[in-house]
Amino acid sequence: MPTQLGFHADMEKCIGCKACEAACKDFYRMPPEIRWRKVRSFEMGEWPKALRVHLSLACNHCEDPACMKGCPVQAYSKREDGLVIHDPTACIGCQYCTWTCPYGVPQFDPNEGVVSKCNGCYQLVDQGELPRCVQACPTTALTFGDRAEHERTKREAVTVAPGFPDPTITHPATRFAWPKKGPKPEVKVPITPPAEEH
Amino acid sequence: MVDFFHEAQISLVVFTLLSQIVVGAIWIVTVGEFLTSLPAFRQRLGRLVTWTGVPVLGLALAFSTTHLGRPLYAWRALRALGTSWVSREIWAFSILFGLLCLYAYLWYRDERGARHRRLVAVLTSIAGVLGIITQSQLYMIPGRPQWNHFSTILLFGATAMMLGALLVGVITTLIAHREAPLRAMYQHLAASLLGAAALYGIGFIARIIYLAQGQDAAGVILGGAATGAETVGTALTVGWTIVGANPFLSSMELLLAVAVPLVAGLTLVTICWHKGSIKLANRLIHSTLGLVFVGTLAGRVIFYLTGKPWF
Repeated sequence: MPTQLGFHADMEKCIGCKACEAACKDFYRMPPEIRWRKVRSFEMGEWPKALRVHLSLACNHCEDPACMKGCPVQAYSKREDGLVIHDPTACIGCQYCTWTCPYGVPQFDPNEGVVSKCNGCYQLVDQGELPRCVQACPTTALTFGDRAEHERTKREAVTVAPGFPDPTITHPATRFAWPKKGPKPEVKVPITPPAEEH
Repeated sequence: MVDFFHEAQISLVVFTLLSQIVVGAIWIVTVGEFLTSLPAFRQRLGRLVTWTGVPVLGLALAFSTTHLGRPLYAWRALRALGTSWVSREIWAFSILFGLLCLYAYLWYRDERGARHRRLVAVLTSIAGVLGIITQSQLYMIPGRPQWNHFSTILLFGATAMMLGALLVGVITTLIAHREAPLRAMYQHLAASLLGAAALYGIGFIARIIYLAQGQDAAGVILGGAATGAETVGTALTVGWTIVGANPFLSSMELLLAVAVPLVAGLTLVTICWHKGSIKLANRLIHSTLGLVFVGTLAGRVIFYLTGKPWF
């Protein structure tokens, strides 16, 4: 089976500190409005068993990336290790990928006139290092590696997460672990819409 | 205000509307190539419609580049014909533009070349059909469930038919003076208008019903975890909320892009059957084009507004 690198986000371990977001923005010197990685916060369950959970998301480096298929200038490519890379020099800023990606990953920067997105820190990965966001995570909630390895070794590695769009559209490589004491992915539970905090 | 113009994708509103008017007008003229038995009238109409269409479509294509972050590199969008609907759309409208220029030129050749001109007319119309299909497919994507519905192609096609027929109608009012053929032509125009308005109405209602499913989905989101395919409901909730927040635009669309053309079409039929005033019919066609354009403009703005990011 070919390698498919991806992230694993453990909602049990994530404390919503956003160190991952900050590390990514800092490393790539991003303007304030661009966030390749976003931490979303949800409230799940009902009192007295309500839970506050956090979900750290960036590019899902999908098996069948809609951004790549829709791009009219072929600015996207998928590496052999599964990472989906965007070439800003080829981009003309048509923003179609910001529509085709169900997960809202590519973001348009009006100052540069092009779209940008998480590239999985492929330069670091090529040197045997982990992406910056993973390095910065203080609770090891965010990990990175081969998707098959995640499915084999993690406590839980499912494709669905609260509010996360249908994984059958593009087959994202990201896997999730739901909170241990909270609801299970297959069980309907009360949940509030995702809230983005600044 | 700047945010509103960005979210409403004004560049794309102008591009889609103007390009659809031209496509619709070409469809009507192509039908006229085979049905009209008045060569002099057909020639004047053909020349005027095509020479109106060329600058309008050129303007639409030029305006579409204002949507880009780097407009000078717009030509690169032709690269991915095999995979991208954006590339296919640009190819379709570029070919349409080329064929339209050729068609406009052929109207100045003598009638002996009519067979070639008719062939180019049919090819231009086919390019127009492909243009509307690619333009619709571009929006019918799982990433934006608010647009991923058959009503998108129905609304785009009906807009082309309705505005195209009215544009040809207005040009007809400017060049034809003999009453008898005019009445027959206005009957055809009324039939096209009624058909297109009915299609637009079906598309409008289907879209409203589709987005209104977001109301039920809101219950799902608040009452249970939306995961996987259920999250489409989240997107529809976003779309439905935007429709609710802009009642003026939706009302304008219903009134001016559905009710007005239906009433105008019926009035035109009545005028033709009862040998009413041609002047009145002319005024009706002029004002209907203006009103329907405003209605479809409002509809297109709300279409783009509803396609907000939802995750």
